Amino acid sequence: MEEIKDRILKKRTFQRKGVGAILSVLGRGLKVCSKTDKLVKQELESFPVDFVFAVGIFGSRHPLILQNRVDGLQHIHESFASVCQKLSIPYSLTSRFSAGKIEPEKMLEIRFKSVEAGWRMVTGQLSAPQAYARHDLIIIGEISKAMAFLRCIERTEAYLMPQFMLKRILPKGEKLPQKRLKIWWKMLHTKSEDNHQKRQLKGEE
Amino acid sequence: MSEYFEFYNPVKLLCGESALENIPYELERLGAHRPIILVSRTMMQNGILEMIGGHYHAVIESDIPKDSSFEVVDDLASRARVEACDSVLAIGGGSVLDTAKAVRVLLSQKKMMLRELLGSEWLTHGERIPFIMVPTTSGTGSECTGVAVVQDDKLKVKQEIVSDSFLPDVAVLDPRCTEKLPPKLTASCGIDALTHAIEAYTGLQKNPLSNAYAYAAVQLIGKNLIAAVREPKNENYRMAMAYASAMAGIAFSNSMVGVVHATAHALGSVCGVPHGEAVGLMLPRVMRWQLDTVEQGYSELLCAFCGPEYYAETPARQRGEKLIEAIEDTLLHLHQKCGIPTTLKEAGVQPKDIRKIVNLAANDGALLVSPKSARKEDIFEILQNMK
Repeated sequence: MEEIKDRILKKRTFQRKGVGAILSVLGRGLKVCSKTDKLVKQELESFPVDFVFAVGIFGSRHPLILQNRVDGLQHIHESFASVCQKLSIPYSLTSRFSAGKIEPEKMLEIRFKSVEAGWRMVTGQLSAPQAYARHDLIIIGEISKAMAFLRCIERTEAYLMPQFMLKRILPKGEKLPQKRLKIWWKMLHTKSEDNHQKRQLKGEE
Repeated sequence: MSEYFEFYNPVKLLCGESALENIPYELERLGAHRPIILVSRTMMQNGILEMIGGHYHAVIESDIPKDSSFEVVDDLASRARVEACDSVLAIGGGSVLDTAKAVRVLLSQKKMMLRELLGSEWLTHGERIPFIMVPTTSGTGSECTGVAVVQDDKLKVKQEIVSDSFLPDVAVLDPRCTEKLPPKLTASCGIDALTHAIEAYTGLQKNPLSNAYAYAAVQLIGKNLIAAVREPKNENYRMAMAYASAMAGIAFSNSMVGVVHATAHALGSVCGVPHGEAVGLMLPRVMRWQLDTVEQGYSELLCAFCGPEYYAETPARQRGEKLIEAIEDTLLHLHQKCGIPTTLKEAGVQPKDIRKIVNLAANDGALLVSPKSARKEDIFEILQNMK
């Protein structure tokens, strides 16, 4: 009995960490695509400057946070509470997963209802529409904005996922305009920039 | 991966003769003492409040615009708060019902602005505010759906909010509510209900329960829509359409709609095309565009719409196409009978509006569960081909 419980918990912990890690890679991918991919660029142009996107698991206080800046998306390495404070959105711990009071003009939050739901989507087992159809996603903010952002996520996933998974993600007949290797190469370069930014932040503290 | 689905519909339906007169009892049962009544002006002039009767102290509001905006909803909710209303009774068409849903949720969530509640499936169970709906058209199915559509005047778009909290406690379908409906409205609302059922039956979120409701709704509409337009005084036809609308509402609330609704919302926002007429315009075109993906579903619906004899006579490979043709025939008949538009030009859509319509439609939440992935170019092509 204990063994079964232990196995379930271990699997969930593994998946939670996996979702976090893949989201982090996705964040970097989005950052690169926001500068290099035409579709992602166009979609992000419809968002106001400084608009914040948060993607994570329901209940998690450390989702992936990205901000739409003039020079493309930027990964924000801060806690959700701190971002809410900067946007002057009252952050309420009682509401656990969200900002408590949403200002859809400043922010969009997409949450997976469970660790498993997040795992299914970030590992490419399900596309965003399939995940939405399974009621796996919670959207806090304008649905029309979520549609545009989900298209960016799907395009980025298509660059990052192995070839055999593309079928599930890319619409029929659509081809990627750039080489996937190029995006990965730029992402690795972005990673070193990110580490530099993190070191700077630590230094300031 | 095995199929997963969710199905939710807790609405008590009061249907048929003298259903309106049971509203005072239902209000009492739900513990409502001071409802805010949102009622369309026409229905109030027709004496609907006198038919309902009762001895409760209500606040009555009949000045509700077509396609209420966020500001209208916020004002109505604050009026309800000031007047200490403890419940909501809505009597009217789609606009009144959607406004009432939004007002009720604002009261129940204790929020001042509807904008704070935008999103999908994130609202928690707020304070219990008894809520009764009386639809006076047979099309939106709003009385059985967990979706509210509100006009965003700032962005000039219709914003959808999805939450179970929009469902009322009780919905009342009484034949007297639709007896003075003009034939054109009966026709366009009927087509709206048909579209709800067809899109629910073929969408990504479909499930065995929503399919059962959608199929039954298509069956009722196939038998009664033209008859209800031809004989508006016939109570049986009108009630059949009211049941079909409610069933289609239950189906699409649990399965969502698709490309037809996404484009119809955009046609409404950009060119002011009435919703029922916009879905009528789009339905056969979109069905033909996605026939290759959902042919099986359309084949099954042919039996519901045209009857088992016609279904049996039709070769299996032609059934999907025959359903589209049958719907086109119905639309043409309704066009000749009461003038519902069949072309973009008749609906007042200018070629210069098409790009704007495409951009809005591409961001409509309904596209998320479309069975065939629709890109901007696809929507553009559909609209271009129907000029």
